[in-house]
Amino acid sequence: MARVNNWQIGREMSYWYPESRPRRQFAAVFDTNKCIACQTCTLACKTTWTSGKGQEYILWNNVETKPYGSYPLAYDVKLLELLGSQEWVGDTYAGRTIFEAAPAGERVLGWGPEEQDYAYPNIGEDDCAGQVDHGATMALPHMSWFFYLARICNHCTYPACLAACPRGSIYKRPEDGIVLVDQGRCRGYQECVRGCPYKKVFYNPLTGTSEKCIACYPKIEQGIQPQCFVNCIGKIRLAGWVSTPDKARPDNPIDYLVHVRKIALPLFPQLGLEPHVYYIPPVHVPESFNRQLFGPRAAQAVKAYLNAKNDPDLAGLLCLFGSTEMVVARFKRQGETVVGSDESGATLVQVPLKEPVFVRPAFDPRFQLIRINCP
Amino acid sequence: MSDLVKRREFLGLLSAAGLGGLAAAAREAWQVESVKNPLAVYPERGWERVYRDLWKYDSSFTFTCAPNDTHNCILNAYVRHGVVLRIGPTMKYGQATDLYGNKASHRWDPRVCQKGLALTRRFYGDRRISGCLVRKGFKDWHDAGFPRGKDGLPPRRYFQRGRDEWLRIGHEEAAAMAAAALKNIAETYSGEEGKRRLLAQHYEPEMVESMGGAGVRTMKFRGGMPLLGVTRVYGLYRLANSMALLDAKVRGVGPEQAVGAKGFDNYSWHTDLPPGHPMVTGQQTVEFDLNAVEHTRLLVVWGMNWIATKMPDSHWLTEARLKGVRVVVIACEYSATSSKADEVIVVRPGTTPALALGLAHVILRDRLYEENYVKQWTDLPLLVRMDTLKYLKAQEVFGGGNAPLKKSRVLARGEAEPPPAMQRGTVISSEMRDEWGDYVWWDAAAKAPKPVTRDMVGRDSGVANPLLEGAVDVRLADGKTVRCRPVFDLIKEYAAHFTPERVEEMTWTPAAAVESLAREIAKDPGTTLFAIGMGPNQFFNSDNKDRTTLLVAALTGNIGRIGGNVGSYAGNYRLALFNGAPQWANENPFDIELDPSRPARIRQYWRPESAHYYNHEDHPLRVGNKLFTGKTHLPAPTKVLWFSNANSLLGNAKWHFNTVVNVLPRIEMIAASEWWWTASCEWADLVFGVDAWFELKHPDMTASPTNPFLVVFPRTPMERTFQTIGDIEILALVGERLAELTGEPRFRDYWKFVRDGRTDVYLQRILDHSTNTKGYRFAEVEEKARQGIPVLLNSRTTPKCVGYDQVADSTPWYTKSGRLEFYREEEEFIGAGENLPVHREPVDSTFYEPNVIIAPRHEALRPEQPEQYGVRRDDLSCEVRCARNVVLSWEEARKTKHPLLKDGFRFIFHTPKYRHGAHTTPVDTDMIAVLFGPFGDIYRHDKRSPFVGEGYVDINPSDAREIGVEDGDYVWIDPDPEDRPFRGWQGNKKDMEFSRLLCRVRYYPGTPRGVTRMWFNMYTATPGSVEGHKSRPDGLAKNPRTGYQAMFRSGSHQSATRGWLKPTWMTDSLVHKTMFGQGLRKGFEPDIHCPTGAPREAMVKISRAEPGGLEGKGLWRPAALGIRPQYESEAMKRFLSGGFVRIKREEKS
Amino acid sequence: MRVKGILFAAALAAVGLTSCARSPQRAPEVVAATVKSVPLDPADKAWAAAPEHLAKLVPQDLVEPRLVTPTTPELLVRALVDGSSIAFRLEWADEDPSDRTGPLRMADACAVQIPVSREKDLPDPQMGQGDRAVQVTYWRADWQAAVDGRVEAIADLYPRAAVDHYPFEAKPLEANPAAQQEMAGRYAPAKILGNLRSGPRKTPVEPLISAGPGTLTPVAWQGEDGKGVFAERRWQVVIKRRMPEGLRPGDRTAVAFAVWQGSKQESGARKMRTGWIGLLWRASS
Repeated sequence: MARVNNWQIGREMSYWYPESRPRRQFAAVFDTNKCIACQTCTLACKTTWTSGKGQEYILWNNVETKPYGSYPLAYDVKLLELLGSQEWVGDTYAGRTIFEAAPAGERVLGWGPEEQDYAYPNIGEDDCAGQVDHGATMALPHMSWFFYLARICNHCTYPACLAACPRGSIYKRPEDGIVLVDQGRCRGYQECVRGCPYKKVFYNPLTGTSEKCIACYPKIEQGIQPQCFVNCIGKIRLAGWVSTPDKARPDNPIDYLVHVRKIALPLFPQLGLEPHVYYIPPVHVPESFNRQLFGPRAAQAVKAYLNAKNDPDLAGLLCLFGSTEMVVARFKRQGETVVGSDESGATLVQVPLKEPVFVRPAFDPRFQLIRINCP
Repeated sequence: MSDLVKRREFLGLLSAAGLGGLAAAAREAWQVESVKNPLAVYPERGWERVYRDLWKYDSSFTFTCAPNDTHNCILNAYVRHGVVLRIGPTMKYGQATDLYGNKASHRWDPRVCQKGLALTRRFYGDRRISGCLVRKGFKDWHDAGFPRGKDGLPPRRYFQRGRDEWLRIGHEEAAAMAAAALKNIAETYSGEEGKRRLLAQHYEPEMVESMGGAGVRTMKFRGGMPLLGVTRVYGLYRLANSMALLDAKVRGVGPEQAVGAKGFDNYSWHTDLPPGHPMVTGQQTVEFDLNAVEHTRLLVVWGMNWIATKMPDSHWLTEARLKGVRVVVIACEYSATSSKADEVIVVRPGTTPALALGLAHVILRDRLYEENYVKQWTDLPLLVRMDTLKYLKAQEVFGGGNAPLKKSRVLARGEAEPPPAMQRGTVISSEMRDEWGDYVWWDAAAKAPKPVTRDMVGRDSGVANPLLEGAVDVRLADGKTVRCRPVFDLIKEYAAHFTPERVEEMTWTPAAAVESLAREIAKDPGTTLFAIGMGPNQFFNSDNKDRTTLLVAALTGNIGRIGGNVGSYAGNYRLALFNGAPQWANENPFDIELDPSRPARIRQYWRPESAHYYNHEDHPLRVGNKLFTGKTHLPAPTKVLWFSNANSLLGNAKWHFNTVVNVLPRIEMIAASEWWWTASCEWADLVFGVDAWFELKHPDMTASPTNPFLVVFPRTPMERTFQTIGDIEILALVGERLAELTGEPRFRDYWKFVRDGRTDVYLQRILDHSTNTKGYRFAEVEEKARQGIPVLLNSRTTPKCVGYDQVADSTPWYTKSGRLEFYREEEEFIGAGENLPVHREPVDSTFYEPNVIIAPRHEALRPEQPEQYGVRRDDLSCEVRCARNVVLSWEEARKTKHPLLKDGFRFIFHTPKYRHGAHTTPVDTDMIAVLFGPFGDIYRHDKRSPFVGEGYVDINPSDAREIGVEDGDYVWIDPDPEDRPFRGWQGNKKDMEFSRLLCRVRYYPGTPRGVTRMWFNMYTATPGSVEGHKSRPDGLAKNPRTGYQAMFRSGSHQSATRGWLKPTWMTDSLVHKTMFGQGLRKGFEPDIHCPTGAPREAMVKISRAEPGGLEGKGLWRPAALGIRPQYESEAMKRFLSGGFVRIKREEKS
Repeated sequence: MRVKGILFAAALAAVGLTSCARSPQRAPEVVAATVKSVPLDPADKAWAAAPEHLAKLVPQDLVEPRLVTPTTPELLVRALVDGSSIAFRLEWADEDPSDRTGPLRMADACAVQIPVSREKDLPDPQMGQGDRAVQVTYWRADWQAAVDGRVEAIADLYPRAAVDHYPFEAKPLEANPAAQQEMAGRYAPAKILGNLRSGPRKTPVEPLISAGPGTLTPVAWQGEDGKGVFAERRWQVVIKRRMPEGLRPGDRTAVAFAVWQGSKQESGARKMRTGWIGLLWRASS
């Protein structure tokens, strides 16, 4: 075990390998307040990457309804229970990570789902916490609530799958931080399946190997966002590159949301993997639940989001989500317009904060007819 | 020492040990040393090529996906080795422009959804229809020369629908068979002999009379939602029009006497039409493109599950909200959309009118209304005579004739209406003008009556200081004096019954919430958008709902403004967006234009009809001694059903099981064009396999009431996968066969440009004659679509905003008075006790006496009572119930009970639509079904599951506990035994076996007690699916003969529904704008004034059938695992409370 | 050279002692008898010619992940040689056999390990060491089932599965088998990369070489083969491989064995193993 730095938990921790950060780290921001659980992301991934035999049950991308939804069944409750109580002191995690809590003979604290745990991939869909009864009325936060949590591989700085693999068949690409299972070298031991707390590595019984989300690297290599991002009609997703806090750039949309605005937070940071899908927490959900999933900054993030109406840069950036399939490396707001550009500063897309209203003449002399809304 | 050196050394050792071969092998293979730190370095990454290769494709093309969901997405298809591998968005909606240089932004992208992405699985799946099929019995009947009994009915043995064998035949042969049947049926039911036969078959004499002796009138054609394909779908109506040629042959009459077939309605058949909108505004529907929410202050989402049914436009809601728009969601559950709300209100189903009246009451009581809007735009200041309950007319007071009108065009007697695109202002016949006259308001300042014409609206209203409250005696020209009251006063008095306290009891909405919501809406006139959905619309009191919600909107100035309007959302309707469409469907078949550059000459021979009568056991509504269906609405007997692009008319029809068991046996030919085998195909005689969207060889186009785009279905480069042809080619082929059969060449000419592969000629004619598309060249618009780019409709505004024209230009609404009319003076409305916008309890889904009018004693409410048309007051049977006008105050009503409660039918059962289907498309696809709700399992561990996902009912956990049902159990759901699932089920085991609803139950904390929900989208059980479920080793509910895949073991969500007919939907007197253009009409008009059916109403009994555990043993696994509501393990409880994480604040020193 | 030889012999003697301690009637080490040609069938009479060795199994506890709780306690081993090949017959009790893999579902397996070189000191008995590699021949129950004719298909693993579509089985490809195969390959990455996990397989065994934990590497086949039979709650598996390099009648080398119990989720490093055991080629009498 080595000592490594994990900025998400505000301290050093132990990890199987010494710290080594990629030149660039793939990252994503998901706005849970915009997610509509349409599963278009799920199908986009499924129809592109896992339509083969033995992959029928595999969802590299899934969307689950919290709190009653989970895929595989109870993956999160099970692990949190194994880990026991998890305490933060301010922004520092005082409890044990899954590496520090690894039992004797294990590399990480993990568990293996059974076949049937992968059934019912959309269990809990729209099931709310707390029963609704006659005459229920709710303001924020809702007394009965659920929210949608879209999940892909977190392409962690400290992947548990990578640490767990006894033969080093899982690696992290230095050029983009994408974590891959070498399909030539994997021997299907399923240590990674046991080890990943997010359960985003899957065993394929017909290839005999474990397979996982590849962050659509064939697209990323061309500067195009992954399938589950481009197909996201809730427009909740933005793919890009995240810096460590010390190197954050305010004009990098991911850095802006993660480090500057601190509105996008990692999922289960206390596990210690330094995951790189950052979630804007749901504004209608009780803080106690939000911080269990997203850490101690959840409350401030909700506050900042509710203030977006007075914060045109933030509102503008959130309206830029999903408006281009290219990876947006830089952004800026110019009055009522938001511009997204690549590293070189070349404009990729620009959108208005408010979609304009067009009013056409009541009578069009050119075509000699009326323009009317009930023709 | 570096890895490499070590490796060389090792290989050296091997060779030293004389293991050359092995060394070589090892060299070829992976380097024999551990990967030291894969976090930092990985030696061999060549394998990564495999995923790059999987990403590659040979080519791509665009096609348009347009199920009936209003989104109409042009999609990219990616091809490799001639197979569409996957589908994706074009990301080019942001390049859409109009004729004025306006441009949409990329915030419209992406447009796609999971259902579209799943289409590859339908293009190639095993239920894809690969050619033409005919039911064996039907073929035998045809081959035998259509033998019939004395009463004209074919022998039963030929009609074992749903259980028969299917034979594969060619399109030519299928078309010939259909043509022969059409001719034979026309002959059988024409003339005196035809009339005798139909009467012998016990059809109402009125129905038979309405046919005028023409057998072709028994043919019902339907293109499902014509806007979804203005040529290939709307073409079914052109086919109906061409039946005039057949009628001319069969009855030997000329073009003047000939009549066409009948065409079924769409928007109203789907219960999408909000029937009260025309009652207030005189036109189909008020609404707004969904991106308008960016420009409002308050968004009230009312009985609409926006984020589940308007998915690609959901971001407008969430983005508007994050920019400060306040979102209030009113629903009968904590819905998906509730989770995006700033304020959530959970109401009792079917009580929308009561809630709206409560809001109106607060607004009126506290004078929060926008007075100018009330004076300028509504009939609220107009006087009503208390003797006749009709509007006081200017002519009655002031004598003389009608005032001249500037804003409306009154046609001289016999003058023809100009074509839609040529019209300016409302077009009225002089007969109508004379009938209505002008109106009167009382000038409170002058203390005198004043006339008002339909020109006097908006800034020209002239209604300055009207008497709004109180009564006046008005002296008429004939010297008589009549007591009159302004509509405002009548409504205020009625609404006063709906105090927040009573409304809380009626609707469950806390009184305080009623007060505060009313204030929020009234706070800033013209800045509230009401997005009203299907929930309230699928109840019997839907027109009351519209009239009362529009009242609230009008009082607060929220109709016809970009940021202040009402929308009613469902279905891709408003064919009028192409109001030149008659150029196609209604071309005169006796006078066909064969020059591609010239417009067609129009003559409509076909006659529309509401499909609700066919669904209603092929009868109009007759209660006691009175026929409640207006003359203009009367249906003809149904002998032919011919539809395309829809599963709704049959396979997923309300009261489906009654329809297939009791109605179908009297129908002699059912033909369908489809590309995927649906339940409708299961029950058909002839199924024409047609091209799927990605194979279209004939272009088509569509548009939408919820977004501003005109979208083309481009011709695609994709080769046809199976033996299919285009929907529109089927129609041409039938024309061809009819031409041969009848010797009438015009049957062939009628489809000339289809046969020539020039369907674009017809499309161009439509563009040239449509108000908001004239100026577009079809070739250019199609070319853009090939690149993934739509164009914008040139409507008055983008976003479209119905009512904008009225408010901005002070032009009259399409009503008699030119104003928004909240009072209805017609006899049918007075008789129904609905001359005022009242609240009726639901016709079935209520715990109280169904369908009673909630009202105090009121001078203007004098409805016709049951005794007056010969039925007993205590007769609550389903049919009688529809025409009951019993009035009770809330104090009386709340003491009553639904007649079935005592027998355990204690649950309201409603069937809304969900995110996983656009109606039933494509829910029976593996990857969609597996994500549809909590029971998806692609490997089907439980043999009982009909498919990889299945239908289920959501129930409040406490209710479930009370009836001894566990989460995940299978239950029986039984509706009113009087007539559901089908009339006569008691003596009919054979059909009950597939009709009785058996499904999983889910503990659902989001639904209030007493209210259960089942999604509308699932594939119903059929005789074949039940046979498959019982006989197949894998237990799939899949028809062994057809491959049809059901998602229920038996029954469906339609086991409990039926079509309910409401008298106010069937009047002959309601005035409204016609479908195309600005002309006004009276009485029936499809999709505007006709029945909508109330399919969301049912009271059911739920009883346990089987435990939910694997193969029926024990608890359903997730419940046993302790992760389900009410079954939570300690860990799950801790998780729910957020108890795993503790946060200590750093103590600052 | 001599020195090394002595050390080697001494090491083996030690191993022999420990293994023969409890059952004197059995051979203290693995003694390979000579036959004309080694059988593949565990039921073959010829096995009677070879004495039986009882090998004790211990949990793999040298590297993470370790096997914490012992499972299969012991293993009966016989060996036969025919000059070009050596075959081992492994037999052990298994109350809960498993010949499938799936999520957290492992197949029963066993392996024979022999040092590459007899000239050097024995490496660690666990997968060899950097400069002292070992040859491993690995057998797996699901491969055996495949070789015995079980179709490796979803319909076989999940008989009630209902799948609408695989892109590589779409109608347009029916006419083009070559393209069809290419397409199918793309959707099975490990398979087109020639990863043996994916099959197709001629034999239930896989020849490998290893020079320390995590270095296991497939090598080219040189006549390795095997056959496993499950009978009376016991696995009887024959693993056949070429003769250890340079081994002559009367020579000794070392051998080690490992057993994985699928039903206990054993795979990779989670296994029961032996230490080094003497392997004597008994000169034919």
